[in-house]
Amino acid sequence: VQLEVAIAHKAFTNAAGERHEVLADVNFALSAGEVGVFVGPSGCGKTTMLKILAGLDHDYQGRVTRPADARIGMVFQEPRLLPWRSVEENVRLAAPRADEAKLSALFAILELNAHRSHFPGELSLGLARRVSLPRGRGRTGFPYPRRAAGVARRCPCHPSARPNCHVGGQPLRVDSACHPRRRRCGSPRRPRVPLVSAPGQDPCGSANSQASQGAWRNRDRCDQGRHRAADQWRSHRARCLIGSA
Amino acid sequence: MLRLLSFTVFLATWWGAALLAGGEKLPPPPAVLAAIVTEAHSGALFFNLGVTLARVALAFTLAMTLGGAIGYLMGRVRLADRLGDPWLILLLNLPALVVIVLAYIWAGLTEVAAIAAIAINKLPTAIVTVREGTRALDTALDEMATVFAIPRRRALRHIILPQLAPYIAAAARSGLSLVWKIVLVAELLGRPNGVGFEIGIAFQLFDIPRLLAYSLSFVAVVLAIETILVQPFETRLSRWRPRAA
Repeated sequence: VQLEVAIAHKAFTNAAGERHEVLADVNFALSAGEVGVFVGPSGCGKTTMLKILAGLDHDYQGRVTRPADARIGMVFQEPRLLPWRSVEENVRLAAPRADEAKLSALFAILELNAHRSHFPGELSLGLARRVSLPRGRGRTGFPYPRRAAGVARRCPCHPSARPNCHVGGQPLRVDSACHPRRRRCGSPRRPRVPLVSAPGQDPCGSANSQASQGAWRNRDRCDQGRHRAADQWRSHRARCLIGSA
Repeated sequence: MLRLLSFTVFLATWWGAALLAGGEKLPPPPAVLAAIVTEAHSGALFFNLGVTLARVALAFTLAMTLGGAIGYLMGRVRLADRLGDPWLILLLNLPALVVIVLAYIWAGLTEVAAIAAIAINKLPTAIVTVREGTRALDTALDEMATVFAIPRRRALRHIILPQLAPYIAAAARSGLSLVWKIVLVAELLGRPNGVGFEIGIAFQLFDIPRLLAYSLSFVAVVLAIETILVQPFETRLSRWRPRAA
């Protein structure tokens, strides 16, 4: 069971008709249970790559092989709830097989019991994000909040923010390896850290600078990269925080 | 209360105008009411109203169903849009009278010809409105539906139709008024019953009270449909929207 990715080329054409190269020569594979992480500054193609992996974007050159029985879970950056359906209906739509007991437990964990019959327009953005979490696990079984850590960051009072966090009996996985909480929220294996760099930027040092133009490296080939990327991410986040303050 | 007041103002204006113009040209409300009572007593009023209403309902349903489907297709598929657009413009600009006369010539003075002609008149406006709605569909929600593998039927019901609802409601509103006006023309030209036929007779006899009796009765029916059916439905569909001031 393996996810194999070989994206040769991905470009966008903007409204003015100009082409923007986004990804080139991205090759990696993930086997079952392995955790992969994309790190990089804004605009370098992380979301583009994830969209290709999730099968949302077919306009690229290359090949992505998903395991035959693959279930795709995804937490979008914005909540993407249906404004005309209640909180409960929104969750049910993504998890049609979850029964009442499971849903109740889920809403209790996420502290959304009081909002089950509300419409997304009546919620704050933080609450709406929390509603969008349980849908991340996708179509079968019990949806568990994959990115609850994101919520924990925004909402320190949340139970999932406690050390050794477990939600619904499942350990939390965190999708951003360089986040300082990662070690507390144990993931099954050490994540590999593929790097995504913006064209012209080099996350892996000068030795590989030519090869890494607009490209992607994984940890095996670029040991230093992970720490660099973490630094990059931190400084990027710091910039964001300063920018928004 | 406000509605009642505006209705009273309408009646008063009518009565005043009738006094000014003279009962011959514009009969006062009591004369029209007497005509309504006479027609209702003989049963002709209800029969003709019913026949016309049935034609309106059939033609309206036909046009909205077909128009909705074609409009959705043209909004989604570029090829369909390019192929269908010249036809659409042709239909939009074809006078109702031409369609009705041609239908009667080709298919005879039959019920099928009348209803088909009325539906063809309404069809293009329904297509245009639904097509605009389909073009405005949120791609972010489409992606959400793809990632969470929501089956097509559920997606149509929970994601697409709610987004199209305002457009369908607009098409239905304008459609209902358009259809019943065209139904009268079709009845006048080639049907032995219905409100249009009665108005044709009244015209030949210069029987203005009877003419007004039939047209106002039908307006009352449409008003009732609007208040009892359309408005509650719309309120329910838009209950998730934050209330407008």
